[in-house]
Amino acid sequence: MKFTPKFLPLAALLTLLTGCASFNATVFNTEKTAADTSVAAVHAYNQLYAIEVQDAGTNAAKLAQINSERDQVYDASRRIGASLKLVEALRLAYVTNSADTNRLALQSGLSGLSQNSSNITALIHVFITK
Amino acid sequence: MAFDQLKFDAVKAQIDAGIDTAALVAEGIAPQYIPLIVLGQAVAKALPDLYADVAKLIEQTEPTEADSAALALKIAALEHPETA
Repeated sequence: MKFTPKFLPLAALLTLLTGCASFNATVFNTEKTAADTSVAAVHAYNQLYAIEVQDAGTNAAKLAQINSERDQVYDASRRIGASLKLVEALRLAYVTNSADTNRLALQSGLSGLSQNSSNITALIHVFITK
Repeated sequence: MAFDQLKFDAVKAQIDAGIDTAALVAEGIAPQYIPLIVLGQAVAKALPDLYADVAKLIEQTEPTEADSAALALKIAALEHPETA
């Protein structure tokens, strides 16, 4: 798992929690945190996008750049959506059968989720603060 | 939660006892930054307890089917970001 400084607190929290809370609850709350953060970030980006399009007016080059950025954000959003769907399916499988194989698959899915979550917030941060 | 000035002052006094502000000023730190350092120390001291509190909170909240359904809606929004 690649940790970025901004994502470190969540990773540290996850590490701490896996030792003392139920794994199922910890995973779900990690999913929820990632989903809440990402939906809020995409929502904020959508507001910014509407303003930028209005500001660009008929400037074709500017509009092309804005739409290119939007495509990157939406691609990142779909990736994290797919990642969350996978982790949620793995979590439900783990609830049904807490075998080591299911646990390992879930831990692996969480790594992907962490990466995607970090990517989308970093991407939106770049576009909002550019 | 209401701000409790007395409690804050008591905590600050405890933290102040562990920080040699004169030494900080002697090292060239401007006096107006001392409260920020004190606040930083307080936050640093509070973090382990804060994490423990969050851990307890999460431990008590096993996800229900309704929670899972609410998450599914958020996932759907991320899969169709133009609707988010």
